[in-house]
Amino acid sequence: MEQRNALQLRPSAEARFADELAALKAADQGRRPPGWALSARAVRSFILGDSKLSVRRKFYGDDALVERALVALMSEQGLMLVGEPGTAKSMLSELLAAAISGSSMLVVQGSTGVTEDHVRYGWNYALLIAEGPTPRALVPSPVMEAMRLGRIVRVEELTRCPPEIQDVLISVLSEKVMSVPELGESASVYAAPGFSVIGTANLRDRGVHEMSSALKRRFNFETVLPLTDPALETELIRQEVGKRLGQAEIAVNFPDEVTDLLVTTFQDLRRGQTKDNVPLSKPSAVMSTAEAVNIAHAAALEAAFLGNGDVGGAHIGRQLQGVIVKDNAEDVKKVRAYVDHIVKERARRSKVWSDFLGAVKAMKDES
Amino acid sequence: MTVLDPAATAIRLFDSERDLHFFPIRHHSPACALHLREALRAIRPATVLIEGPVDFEPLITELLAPGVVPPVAMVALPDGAKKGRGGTTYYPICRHSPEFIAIREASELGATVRFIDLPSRHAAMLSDRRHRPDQPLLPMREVMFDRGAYVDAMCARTGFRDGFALWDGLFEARARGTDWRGFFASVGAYCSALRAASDPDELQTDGTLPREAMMRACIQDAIAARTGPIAVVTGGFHTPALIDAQAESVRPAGAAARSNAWLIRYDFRALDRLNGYGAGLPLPGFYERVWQRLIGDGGETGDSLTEDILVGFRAHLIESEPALAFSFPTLRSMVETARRLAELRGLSEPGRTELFDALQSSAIKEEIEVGAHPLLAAFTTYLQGDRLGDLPPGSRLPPLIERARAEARSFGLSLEDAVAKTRELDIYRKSRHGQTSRFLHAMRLVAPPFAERLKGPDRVHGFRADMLMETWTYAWSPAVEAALIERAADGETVRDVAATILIRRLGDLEREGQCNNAAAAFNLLSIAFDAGIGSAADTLVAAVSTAVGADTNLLRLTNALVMGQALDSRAKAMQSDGTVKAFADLLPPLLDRLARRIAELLPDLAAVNADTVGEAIACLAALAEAMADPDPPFPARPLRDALQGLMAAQLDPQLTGAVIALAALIGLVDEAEAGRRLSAALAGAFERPGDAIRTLSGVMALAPQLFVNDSSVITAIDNLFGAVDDQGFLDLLPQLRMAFAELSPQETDKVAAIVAAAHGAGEDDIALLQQVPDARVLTDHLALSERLRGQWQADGLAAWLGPAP
Ligand SMILES: Nc1ncnc2c1ncn2[C@@H]1O[C@H](COP(=O)(O)OP(=O)(O)OP(=O)(O)O)[C@@H](O)[C@H]1O
Ligand SMILES: [Mg+2]
Repeated sequence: MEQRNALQLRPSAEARFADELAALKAADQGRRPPGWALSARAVRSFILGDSKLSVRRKFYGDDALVERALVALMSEQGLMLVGEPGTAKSMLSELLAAAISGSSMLVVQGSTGVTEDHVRYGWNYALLIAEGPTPRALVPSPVMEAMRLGRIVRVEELTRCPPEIQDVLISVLSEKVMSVPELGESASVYAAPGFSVIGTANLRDRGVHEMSSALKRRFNFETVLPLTDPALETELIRQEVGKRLGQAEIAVNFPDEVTDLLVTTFQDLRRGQTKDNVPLSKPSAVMSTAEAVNIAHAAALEAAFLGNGDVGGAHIGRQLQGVIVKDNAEDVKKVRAYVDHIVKERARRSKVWSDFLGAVKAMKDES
Repeated sequence: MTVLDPAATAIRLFDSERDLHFFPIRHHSPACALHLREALRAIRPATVLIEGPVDFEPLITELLAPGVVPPVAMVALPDGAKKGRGGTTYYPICRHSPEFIAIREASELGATVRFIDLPSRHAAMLSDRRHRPDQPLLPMREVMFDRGAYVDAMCARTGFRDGFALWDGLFEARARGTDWRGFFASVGAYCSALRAASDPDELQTDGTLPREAMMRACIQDAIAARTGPIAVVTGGFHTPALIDAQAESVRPAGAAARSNAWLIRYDFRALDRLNGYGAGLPLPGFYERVWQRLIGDGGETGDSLTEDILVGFRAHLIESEPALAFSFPTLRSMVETARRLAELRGLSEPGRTELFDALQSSAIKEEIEVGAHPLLAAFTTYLQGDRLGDLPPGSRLPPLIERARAEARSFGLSLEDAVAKTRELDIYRKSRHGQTSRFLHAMRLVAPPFAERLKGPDRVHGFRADMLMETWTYAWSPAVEAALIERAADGETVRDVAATILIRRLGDLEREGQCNNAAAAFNLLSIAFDAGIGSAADTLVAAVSTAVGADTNLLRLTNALVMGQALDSRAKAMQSDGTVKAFADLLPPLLDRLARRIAELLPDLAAVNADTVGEAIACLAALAEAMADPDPPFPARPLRDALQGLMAAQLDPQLTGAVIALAALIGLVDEAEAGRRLSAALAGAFERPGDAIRTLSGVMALAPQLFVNDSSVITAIDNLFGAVDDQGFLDLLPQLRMAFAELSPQETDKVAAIVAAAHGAGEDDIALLQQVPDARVLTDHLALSERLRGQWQADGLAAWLGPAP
């Protein structure tokens, strides 16, 4: 575990927000559910912000979702976060685990390659040969660790795990016990209070394994939707980009109008409609807030290193190309129609939009 | 969660010096209703002033009559003379409306009740911005509770998701408290903050300020005439503007106007639709349950409201939508979730929002598209409720309702309850049945929820022997009354209103640039006929006549001809009746005009090409239908001449087929001649052999029998196939299949027999073919044989292709 930490590029949520968690803990007067590091209300504040304690809002949009999620976890149900890519499912599960269990590091990364070792336990073969099956030779999975410690284990992309792995979770969630027959007939690990599972999945993904209804029953589902409020999305992008640039100690001038352009473009294409209800064809590319953050970040870097530090419409235009155009000819057409009809109109009235138009057009002509 | 800073916006509600007490409320709020009841019992006012249009005051006695069961509504009908000011005014009342509670308590205390708002049809009451002119008008709108800067800021601060959840969390959650002073102080503080954040210009334009001037004047009058404590019950938004009423207080002009006001039965569905316009808290079914709990009515089961509602909803689903029903363990966890959510949100018990959240969280195991899920929708409908209000028998009703009821009864329709009943009508042979049918048709227009026709002659195909009867279901319900109320300004009898509606629809056609749409105009005429609206006949006929002259669309015109003819035959078959006669006399000149117009336009079909031929064929099919009548009510001569002309013209092949078929059908040519023409057309030289087949499609569309009866045509097709190789045949097959799809199975067999005989095939061969499961398999097999044959020939195995030795 320690080693893994050392390898991480990004510190865990509990490390990044240690101050906030400490402040919340100190001020927390609510009842803590068994095994929880904080009361449910303090966890809510951690995720949705609390200005009195200078706790920053981290998840934007659907506050009720966070409340429902907390209640599901309190009721010892698993929590299943589903939705399109880039809607902050993983972020949310990390934050929940960090605040509830004090640790977000118990993670199973779902894929077809996941085996029982990853969800039950494996063996240290050298020790196994030397000593036989002893507790020392057993290598617990994150799931087993979480049960033992009464923590939350996160299963990312749960629907990518093969069905037999999903089945392990059924018994873990319903019986709250994992037997280890190799250590003796009655050897088992019982889940300490506070244990739960947060899964994330993108149900529309191709190549996923449909969850069995038995497993579904043990989870409460929450659909995380892309942000629909432009103001929130703008705020989020500013904050994220500011943080990233701050970490790298880069300073740029990122005018509001440019952020507006980015958010407007994303909201238009995501909804298939402009603010004034002009219909347009939705590209199939993922137009998530996460992508918007990436674009804003990349645009800022370009402005800082290749320009004079002023971020403009042209930077956004060039970066947008990368998200949308990748290799989908249909999308290219849809975005071209958007640019030709809607962006062109706006470009008449605004320098930022006309720079944006110019950049998108130039890229197209090259390709 | 104390989020209010009452000190900042507190207002002096209870003025013991003047013995004047203000109660800021929100409409349909059980919490306000309960606290108000307690307050009135404590204060024992001599006068209760209520925000309600003064002209509704006479209805208060009616409202208190035994036998009145809310939901009911006070309504004022628009003044028919004033154009553009349509829309009925509604003042809906539930059991849990604070105003209703105030009226009832006052009457028990022997206090005087006064309404203190402007008259319902005062200009200031009509000035809210509406999208449609006939949208309902609400004297008390409270959209300011739903959105706006203050509500948004409060939501952000408290974590409630919207204005409704905020209200519930702050106020409905406090319904059980005993401190009514504290409760109203909070409501007052909240409302004055709302008011401080609203736009003063808006208050002027939406009529709020003049209304409040009226309320102040009424309060002054009450103070002057005081005999004891005075209670003032108004929407909380107005309270701050009333508290310091000075002796200023002249009533605005027009404050004495009377209106055409009535108390009517109402229902929760209609009520919730009004809530869409900002009438008050939504989901009346939910709040009524809350209210019943609060007053300890409805049998204490020991279960919480949450349990009651969720258990009831589950039972309702099992009964009506089993596919959506959830299991019992899910129900348990739902109740648990609702409780925990309430706790997390600092509420003493779960409210509306928590119920929805619990349902979503526990019962929906899949991704939800932007808040929309059938289960959530079903829950909304369930909580909306379906309660119907009631009035005591013999209540005074608006004339239109009264007349409609009387007329319905005179036809022997039973109106005693809201259960649907069925009625069969022999519309042509029994004159009373004909009249009943016309009444029901008129009610379809005026109050659609009343009746529905299950069976009967349809408007286009009209008079058919098998359609002598109509079957209707009907039921009298508050929804019918509500629908009638909405139309009440349009006339005093069902027939007058129906006429107005039709004329208005005609106007709509004009506005939409459709005044040249003969089919649409004829359709209206047809409806008028069914409903027996003789008074509208002249206007409609004139409009149809104009449309016919202006329409250049042959399909619409020919469809109109079919409709007109059907109408004519129905008119002739009906027992004589004044209204029917009006139509019977007006129709022939109209049909004459129509037929001549069609004849004028028919030659244009020569310009039709393969892309537009479908519509042209539909025109000819309609003509065929109209002209099949041996004694048509329109002149056939011009039409026949025009067709004759078409036959000589160079046409799209499919159209050629259709024209030949039509000519044969109406006896313009005999069948033998038709066969000859068809054979010639089929043998015609086209770049694509498929085109010749399209001729067949044209025939089939109109007169498949023609083709079956004349074997010379079949021979011609057969020859056509002889001229193409097998690959060519496979290419033709799709076209051919399309053409033959029109034939009935017997007809197909007949054709098969003729073709088989011509080729010397016996019945066995046909039987063999019939075992082929479908045409595609046959095509595939034929293609395969062909490949095999080629292969064998290439391999020097041609001998295998001969008959077996
Ligand atoms: N509503 C939101 N609130 C806060 N941050 C958001 C929101 N939506 C997107 N983001 C941003 O998007 C980033 C990416 O989110 P994350 O990786 O958690 O998405 P995901 O839903 O797990 O995607 P995937 O399905 O691809 O795994 C977050 O770290 C955050 O910066
Ligand atoms: Mg993820």
